[in-house]
Amino acid sequence: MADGRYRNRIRIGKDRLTVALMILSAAICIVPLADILYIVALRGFPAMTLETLITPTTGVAGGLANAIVGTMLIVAAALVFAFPIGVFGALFTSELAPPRLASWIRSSAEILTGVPSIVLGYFGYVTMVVAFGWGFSLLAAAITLTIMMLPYIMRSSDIAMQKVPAEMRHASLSLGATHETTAFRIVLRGAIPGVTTGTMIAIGIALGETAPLIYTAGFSNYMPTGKLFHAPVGYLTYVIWTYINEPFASAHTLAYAAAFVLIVMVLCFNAIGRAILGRHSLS
Amino acid sequence: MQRSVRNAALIAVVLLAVPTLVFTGGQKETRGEVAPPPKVAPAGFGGELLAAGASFPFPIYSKMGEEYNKATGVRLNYQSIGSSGGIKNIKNKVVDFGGSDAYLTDEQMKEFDAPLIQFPTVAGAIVVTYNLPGNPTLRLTGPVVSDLFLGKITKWNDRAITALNPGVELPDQQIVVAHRSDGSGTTFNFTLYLSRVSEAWKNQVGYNTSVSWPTGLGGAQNAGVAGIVKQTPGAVGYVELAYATENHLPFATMQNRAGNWITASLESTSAAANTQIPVDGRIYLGNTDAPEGWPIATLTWLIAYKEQSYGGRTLEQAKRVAAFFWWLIHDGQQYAEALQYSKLPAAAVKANEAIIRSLTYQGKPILSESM
Repeated sequence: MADGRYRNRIRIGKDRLTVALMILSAAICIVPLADILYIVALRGFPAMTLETLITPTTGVAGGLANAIVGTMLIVAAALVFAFPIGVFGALFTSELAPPRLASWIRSSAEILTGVPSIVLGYFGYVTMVVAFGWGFSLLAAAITLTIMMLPYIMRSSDIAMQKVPAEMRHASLSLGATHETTAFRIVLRGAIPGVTTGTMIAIGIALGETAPLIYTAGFSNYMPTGKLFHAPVGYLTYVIWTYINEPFASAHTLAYAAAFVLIVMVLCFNAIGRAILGRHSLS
Repeated sequence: MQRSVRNAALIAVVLLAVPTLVFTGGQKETRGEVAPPPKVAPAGFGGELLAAGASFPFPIYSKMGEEYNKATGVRLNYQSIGSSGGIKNIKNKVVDFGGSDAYLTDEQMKEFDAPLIQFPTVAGAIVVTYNLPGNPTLRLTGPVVSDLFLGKITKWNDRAITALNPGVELPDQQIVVAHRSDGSGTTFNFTLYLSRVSEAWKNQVGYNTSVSWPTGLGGAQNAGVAGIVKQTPGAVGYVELAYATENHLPFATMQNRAGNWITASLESTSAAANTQIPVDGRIYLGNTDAPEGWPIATLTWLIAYKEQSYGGRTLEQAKRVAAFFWWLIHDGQQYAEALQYSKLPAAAVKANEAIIRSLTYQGKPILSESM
């Protein structure tokens, strides 16, 4: 009979241990982010002035204006390609494609996410920068990032679209709507949370990429002009990598400031994504 | 069914049209777009110069680019991707010129489809730094440094070191070697120096941007090596002089080939180039015979095609390249020392002038005789 109380204590002990491990794991997820934000903000603080945001880089110091605009321009240009292709591709696999073709396309997208970004960058260099003769250019960088972003957008959208109940499609079609109307009005609208999540993930990844851009965008100390070819574009991750390796303290501070700006940008996009999700959540 | 097929066709057309329009619209873009006229406008208007290569001179090329832009409106963009990246990009004709911490050998030049010019632009230095109590300024010779990095000298109070440093209290401590884990021009020049002063090093390790280090820990970039040295008592490593001075690291005084004890500085680095510079600009300053020269001085080169009329390049662009090169070895040198680079001595400038004059466009020299 005393055995029962002992066993009960073990049960409670295991329970408490498990709860503690869960709390610890959650903390381990959060603490590194908080630590990174803290260190980056602390070391980049001297460079975090309004002037930094409006002056361009100078090689050892300066500001981040050209890098910030360049990063946003490259990611926006990549999104112009990646978003429609990703969403329409997902619509195809979820609505129109025969099952085997659909699963083949989905597998290809999965494999594409596994390709190292530096391989994509080199691929972009060999094809667009050299063979096509575009030189270091906005378009080469954008297309390379598109290839990186596509599978994330397509996969999330595809999964969300598949979750839209078949009854909704049948109802729409039986009311006389076309495939196209059904696709856009019913399926896509229902899949907005998944599409948004996939796009936000893709943007977050694209903002932080360095290797593909080194080979395709080059770097420029001057504000981007929007020229698509033969004009290198500056971007934040290059500043972080190159400036942290210079001997000068001013360069290091700017590198940390660039890291901080980049993290803030990623957090902002996440917040925007959540706002969209909040308004469109499936109840 | 017919309507949805038509809609599918419309969608396909729109999707194909977007990139096609963008692409063909972009084809109107040409190189050499004229920038707004600069505030001070001597010879030449705006335009762009594109370069890539070694990270060692990235700060000074950026500074030169900034000053050159103020003077002429030309926008120079130099991308720091390493010497091999610079060579690859000039080989692929993606950039106007490439930067490299090692000059191209005759074999390497054969891989290009046209003749090249190379000339040194600024000088730098490599120093040996260490972590010892009290941060003394040690005296070391080339052979001793070789033995340190070979792992033959294992303790700081070894006779080889104490003999050179009679007044310094050297601890009975294990030596920990720190070296670069990534490929680097700094490693190239340092191992080249060691190969020149030590037969054992030359036979056992040799020189390259990345070598098989007999001993020690690897760190990425100058920062990585400096980090290991700072955190490990008894560590010894090699870094650029600029890195050591900007980050207040102690470094050794060394004996050069002439037998003089030299402290690494901008002056002694420039002095290291006071030697016979060959007409093709290809010389390594490691273990220089210049009497007042720092023994581990380095140069960095810019590489361009001698005949500039390739791939549809305009005479305008060729003139821009030549004019910038000329400016770099003359007016541009004034910005070097503030950034911890050493200026080229007069002999090197003269040799470079001849090299830059050999640039041609469709067979004719680009720079006029009056310059």
